Amino acid sequence: MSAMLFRDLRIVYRDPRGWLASLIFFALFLSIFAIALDGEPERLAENAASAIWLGTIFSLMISFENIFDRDIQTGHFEQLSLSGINALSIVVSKMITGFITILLPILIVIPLAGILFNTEPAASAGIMMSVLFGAPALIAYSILSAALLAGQRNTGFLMILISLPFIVPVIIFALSGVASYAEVGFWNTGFQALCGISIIALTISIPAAAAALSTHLE
Amino acid sequence: MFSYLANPQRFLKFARIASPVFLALFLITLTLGLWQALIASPADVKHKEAVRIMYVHVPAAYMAMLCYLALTIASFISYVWRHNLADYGARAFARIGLVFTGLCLITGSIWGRTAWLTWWQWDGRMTSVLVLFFIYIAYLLIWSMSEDKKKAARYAALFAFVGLINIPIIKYSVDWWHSLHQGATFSDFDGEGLSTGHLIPFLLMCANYTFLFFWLSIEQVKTDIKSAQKNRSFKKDQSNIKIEAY
Repeated sequence: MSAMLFRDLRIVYRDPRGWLASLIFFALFLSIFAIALDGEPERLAENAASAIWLGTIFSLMISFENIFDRDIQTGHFEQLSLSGINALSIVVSKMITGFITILLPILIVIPLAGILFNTEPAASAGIMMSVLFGAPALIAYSILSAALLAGQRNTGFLMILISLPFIVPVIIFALSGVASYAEVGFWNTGFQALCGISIIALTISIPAAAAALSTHLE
Repeated sequence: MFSYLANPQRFLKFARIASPVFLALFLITLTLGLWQALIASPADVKHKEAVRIMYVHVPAAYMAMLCYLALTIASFISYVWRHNLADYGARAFARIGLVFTGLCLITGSIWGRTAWLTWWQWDGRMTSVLVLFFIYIAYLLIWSMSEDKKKAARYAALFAFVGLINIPIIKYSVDWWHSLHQGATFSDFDGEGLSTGHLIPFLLMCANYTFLFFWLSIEQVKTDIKSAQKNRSFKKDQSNIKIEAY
């Protein structure tokens, strides 16, 4: 599995279009959001958490949409399954790659986005923490939709439609956690629920995504 | 019983008897239930006449969840034994469930307007039912997306299993988050429950929705079997075309 992971990471390193595209989309989304809010400092600070969360979700969807495509087109998956590698380990290695190459850059630029949205440093830290706690759930549901849609064309809309119902509780608890971060600190009920959702999402989505992928290889 | 009905021919034979029976039961309970709900039953102390919305709203909500449970069971059968009829059943339950969920949301919204003076509130119960609505739509879209129906059935079944976590959330949302939506009245056995005057039309309407569900799903599965048969004979005809020399 580590060999697969390093191969995926090397591919991303040599062809940085993928993760750059998601980062640029994130930046564009936030700028459009700020412009749509008329650029008023108070309103921007109020809505920073919502904007950053939506931006994160949509850029995740966009980059996960074709995370399996290259491997399917080149026949890499057939080779892997012929050599007896479990679909489960493919999925887990893709999830780790996704976290390192897509979510980690976004996490790093969140403080910058906080400056753009005129938030306090503490609030930016809360938003970052919420994205970090929600990350397993986000990635698990994105990989599930990507695996269900593997090999299909024009799946952008379906990708969003499939994962959004499951992401709804993630957004709700993340935003309530961010709201109470300032008073209660990072171990508040919102973040606790977020961690719980992340664990549930991982346990449900990884086997389902692996099953979908092996269905595709049948 | 499932394995007996798993044969399409036997199912069609069963449907010929069962479908009109369920239709008749549906019509009888509809007449009785509507008469009870709209005319014979008393108005409520708190809700006044608006309590009558309950007789269409609560059964719709209960059917929305029941359809999803039926859908998951059918998906499980389809996933394990790869049976065609289970696929047809799952898709039929999803279509019916989508309509019931929509009905539940609409009637709930109307009731909310009279009882809480708002059409919509983002509380736990309403949000989770809305999520159920989107899950149904996504499930049906997964079916229509793939050319290979055998694979589409497996993808859809996997999606249905994951979506099952939403059902307990809907059920317990009123206990977990106290909000505008009232708590469980019917399944709360220690509580006061419904009075007999409200209980009779309520049970009639629940039975009525259930019969409608049975009738619609049998009809839908019947249509699917017949259209599959027609497709097959169409393909057979095509293969019979002979190329003759001039």
